[in-house]
Amino acid sequence: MIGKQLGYGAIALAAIALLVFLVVRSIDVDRDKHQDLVALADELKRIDGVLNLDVVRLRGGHLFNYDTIVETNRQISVGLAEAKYRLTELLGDDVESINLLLAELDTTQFRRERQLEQFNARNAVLKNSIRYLPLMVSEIIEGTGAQHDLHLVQVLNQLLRHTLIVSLHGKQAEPSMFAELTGRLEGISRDRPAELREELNILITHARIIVKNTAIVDRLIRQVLAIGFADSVDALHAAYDVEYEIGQGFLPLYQIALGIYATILLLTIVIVIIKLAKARRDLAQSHLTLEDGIELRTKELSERTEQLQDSQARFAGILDIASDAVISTDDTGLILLFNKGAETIFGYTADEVLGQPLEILLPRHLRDAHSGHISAFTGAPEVTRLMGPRGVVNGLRKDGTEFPAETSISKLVQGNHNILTAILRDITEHNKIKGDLLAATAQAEAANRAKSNFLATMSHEIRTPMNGVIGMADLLLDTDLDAEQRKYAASVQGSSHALLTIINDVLDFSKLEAGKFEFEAIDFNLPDVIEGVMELLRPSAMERGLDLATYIAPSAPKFLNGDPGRLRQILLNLAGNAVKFTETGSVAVTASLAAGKDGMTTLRFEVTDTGIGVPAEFQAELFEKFSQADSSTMRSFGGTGLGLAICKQIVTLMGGTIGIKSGPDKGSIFWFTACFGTASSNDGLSREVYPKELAEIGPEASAGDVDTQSIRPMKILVAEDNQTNQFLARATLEKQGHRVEIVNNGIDAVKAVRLTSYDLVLMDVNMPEKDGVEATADIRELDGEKGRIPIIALTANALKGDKERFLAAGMNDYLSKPLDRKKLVAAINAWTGGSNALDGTPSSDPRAMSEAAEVLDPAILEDWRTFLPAEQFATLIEEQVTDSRASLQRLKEAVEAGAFDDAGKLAHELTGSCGAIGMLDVQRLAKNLELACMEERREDALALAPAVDEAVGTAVTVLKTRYANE
Amino acid sequence: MSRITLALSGVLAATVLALVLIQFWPDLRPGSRGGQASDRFGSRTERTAQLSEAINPIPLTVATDPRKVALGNRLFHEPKLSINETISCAFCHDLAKGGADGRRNASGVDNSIGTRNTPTVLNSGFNVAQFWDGRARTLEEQVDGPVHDLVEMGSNWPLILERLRHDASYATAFRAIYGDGVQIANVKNAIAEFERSLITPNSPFDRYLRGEAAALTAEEIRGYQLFKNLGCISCHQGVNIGGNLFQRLGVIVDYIDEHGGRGKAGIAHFGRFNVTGLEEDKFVFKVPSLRNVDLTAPYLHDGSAADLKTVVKLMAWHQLGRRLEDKEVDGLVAFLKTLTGEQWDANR
Repeated sequence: MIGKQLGYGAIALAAIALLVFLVVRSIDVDRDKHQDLVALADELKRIDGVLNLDVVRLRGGHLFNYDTIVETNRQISVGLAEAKYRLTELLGDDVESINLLLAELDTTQFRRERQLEQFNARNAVLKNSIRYLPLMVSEIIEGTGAQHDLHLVQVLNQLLRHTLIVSLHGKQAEPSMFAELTGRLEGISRDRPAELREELNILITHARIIVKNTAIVDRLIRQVLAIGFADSVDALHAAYDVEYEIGQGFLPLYQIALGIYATILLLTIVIVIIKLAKARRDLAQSHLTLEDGIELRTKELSERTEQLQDSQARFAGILDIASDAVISTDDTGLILLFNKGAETIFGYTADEVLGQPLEILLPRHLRDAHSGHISAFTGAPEVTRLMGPRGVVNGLRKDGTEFPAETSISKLVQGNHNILTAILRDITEHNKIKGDLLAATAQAEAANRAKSNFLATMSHEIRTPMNGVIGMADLLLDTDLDAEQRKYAASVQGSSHALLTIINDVLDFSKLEAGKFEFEAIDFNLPDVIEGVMELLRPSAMERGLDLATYIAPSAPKFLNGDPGRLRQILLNLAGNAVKFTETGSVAVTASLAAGKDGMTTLRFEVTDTGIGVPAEFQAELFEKFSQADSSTMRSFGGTGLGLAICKQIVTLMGGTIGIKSGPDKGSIFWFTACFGTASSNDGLSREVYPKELAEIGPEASAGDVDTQSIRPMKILVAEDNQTNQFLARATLEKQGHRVEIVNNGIDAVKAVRLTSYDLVLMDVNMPEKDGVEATADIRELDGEKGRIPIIALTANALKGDKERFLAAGMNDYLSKPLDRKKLVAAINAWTGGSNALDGTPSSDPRAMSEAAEVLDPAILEDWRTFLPAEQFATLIEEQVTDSRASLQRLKEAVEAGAFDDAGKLAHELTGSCGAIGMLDVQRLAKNLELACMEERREDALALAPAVDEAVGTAVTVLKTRYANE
Repeated sequence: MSRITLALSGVLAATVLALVLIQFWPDLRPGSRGGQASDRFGSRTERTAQLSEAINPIPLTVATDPRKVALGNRLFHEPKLSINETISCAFCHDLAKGGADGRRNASGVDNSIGTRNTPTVLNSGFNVAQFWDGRARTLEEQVDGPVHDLVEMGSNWPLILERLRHDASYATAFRAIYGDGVQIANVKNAIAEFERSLITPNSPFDRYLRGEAAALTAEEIRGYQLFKNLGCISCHQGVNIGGNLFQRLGVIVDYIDEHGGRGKAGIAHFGRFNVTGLEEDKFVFKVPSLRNVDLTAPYLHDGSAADLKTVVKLMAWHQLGRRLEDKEVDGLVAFLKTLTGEQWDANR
């Protein structure tokens, strides 16, 4: 509906936009100017007519002044200028036809102005002379007494007549006649008195003026009237009309389009109004239909409501039957529902608690936390969760007693509201029973543990005297004995061995029970192990006439990593049994690859015999404790019955399984699988594991018999990439009389340890190529003494957790940088002088890193200064400054290149070396720089670099000042 | 929906109706102004009345823009227009001295002396052109002359504009009146507008012409009759009693021969020739107005006639070929003195 309205709106807008467009294009913006210009042209022509008329009037003596000519001329000039301006405004100033015509008009007007100027001047004089000449003639004739001078009078009259005719008729005087008359008059005047002569001369001048000016004035009038100004204006008008029509362009088309469009719009509006009226009628009709529909729906709705009420009643009945408490609350925690089960458990009736806050059912100490839990649950995505720890929460009965209840809570979202429902079960009884059970179990387990411990202790205690007995028996058998004595002594020896086997089994088993059974993870040679077992069994096999065979599948790796002793123990047990229970035939041991992935190798071993076999009904119990297929068997063959149980446990702990395929008189196949690691290297792995096994069985090796060494010159490897620290370490250690070798990275460190015997390694943690932790791990892989060389970590990373990391990597101790000379010496003495510093207490407190903004630490500097020879101290300082500057330069380049890792390492190095010689300020700033690099804050890093540089400068200045005299 | 559509329909219908009306009824178009053009230059009856007499009285008022007149007045008295800020227009055209300077020849900066007599600025708006030789067709054009003339202001427009623009009050006034501020055309227009306001109506003679018979004495009326009869009125006619015509000095009797000689007369005596270059225009000058002539001695283009009597006699002889008796001269002078009017105040 809204989309449709938008559509209509868009159409209406488009219609209006089109209308506006057409209107704008239809309006002739220049129309008023155009009209003005046309009117101006008409006016110019009219004034031109007036001017011509005035000229004629002036000539005819009907005008008495020249103001009108001047004014009309001025109007024409103004009108022309205005026309020029308006034309430019309308058409621009580059329309050639118009410009030509305008120039022509200008010229015409200029020429006419000049002609009129001449005309005015000449006409004024002419008029005066024509008016004055008759007067003068009559004055001369009458006033001077010349009337008697007939000749003069005659000539004067002729002249008068002639000039008047010329003037009044406007026709050209006859030059010869006029010249003759003036000549005669001049001749007459010569012999007249001076006064008359002067008057006659003036008269002649006037006459000449009349004759001459009449001709000029009439010529000028003809020229002015013929000048065709109005024609030029018409031509201009016509040219303008042409340009105007061109300028109009599509205007008439737009006007026609507007007319058509306006008509269409009007029609559309009429249609819309008619349609609207119709739609209104339809709307009224559909309104009626709608009301009918609503009535029908209302009826249906009431039926549904009844059904709903029925189902609610059923639901309430079910709730009441339940023995669990079911309690519902609204958003505000007020109780909405309280079923029969709840009444029973809490002791309230429903009426008492409905509308009350849920908190009344909770012990006081839980109430505060309760609302927080509820709101957390309301906001959580899940619908149901358990309440309280392990889903148990304490409830409060009406009588004030508390009880534990297993509680779950669920929420039902209805619109904006949550209805929370808790279901509780009183677990007071349940808890009581559970508590009793737990106590009993714990008691039983304790007793079992005590038994195992007792057994282990007993076995261990028995073993020692047993060794004595066996040893004595062996010694006794080597002496001279008679037959009877030898028989007894041999019996003692055999019984002792049997007893020792039993005791060893019991000891292993109790270790397994107590979870104290330990496995080694060392590289070993698989064929060696199997061959070793066969060698042990060979004497008894030969005694019985049995064949012994081994087969190792080519798929099985020769070298493995694991506990060869335990593997041997299992094989010895299984193969020993096979020899024991086989009368004739053979015993064979095979090994093959079962599976191998992710560096783990699973091998399958089989021990096959041709013995009495195991009946199917005993096979299942065979690997349980104290079981033998037949109790009589135990008597015939001896043994504790623990062997296979121990094998099973060991195999399980080695990630494998054990089993048997057998039938009576068909022989047996005992098989097992076990997981091993991949040997780290395959050479030199002919490790002597057997003696170690014996040593384990025999008296425990003492861990305390490390040589106590006095302080002696030692050979020490320093793995450190920082030159200053290298220098300091070397200086310190050599002063102590030690020999020092220095390497720059972890790879070289491992190589050096492998090739050379050192007494101790100082290992920087943060090094290029291979860091100290990795290098230590590699060294610990090495055989023999080299693998156990004391390693002391050097680190500026004295952070929490680092200690564990270093010790886990196999380091023995660690020292914080900056290096404290005294602590270094102490640590070396501790690790080479015999005292055990395995507690790993940091030799210096990392928090002791100075926060004071001191430039230098006088104590450290003084320490070094007194410790080192003067020139060496100077070298130390100088090298430090040079190195710092070089490091800073490389650091800046690294930051600019975005290599923050490199930059961070450089900053770290700088921090360490500066701290070591007590340049506190530089150290502090360099630390900040290091942090900036680690967090890749490029701007900060670039800003800090010059600050560090400056601090180095300051430190040098202070140093120089301080030790200037030395 | 129905309301929106109805409203839209209403708007559309109204627009369309209005457009149709405008389209077919052009007089409703904004700015349409039929019939105005024919009134552009005044009505015919007014004109016809002016034609019936040789001399018409000066109109009692003149249509000017009071703001421009006020600004022009200030500029007219502004020494900044001259090169060294010493003289203004009013230095020569002293309104208290009939709009001229009372000197034989005009003077300018650094006490330099010009070659012609200062024409009056009063009623100069009625003249056909400005200067003795009419080289400026309008009062606006005229301003260029004295501004640049080395013996008058000796100045130039860039200098003047810069000075005026630095004066906040000028800058403000120009912007208020002309919009584009201090410009050459605007300075000229303001001065010209002020000069157009310098009319001198209500002279005794004008009052006489308007029917106030007692405005002139018998002697003065006799002088007017002489003025007409002798032919003075042939050239000195119109509202300004002259000023609308060019005429040769010495129509009947040569003037230049008697006053300084042709050969060395120099350019100052060539008059109209200097503008048109036509030989026949040599010694042709604009006929000066006789309005307030009593106040503007000395007379003629070279200031050679010290008083009215002298110039009256000179003019009668050279232009009309008449030798006047003293009585006639007195009559004419008496008449000429009635031509002094009242200075009109544009702000009145």
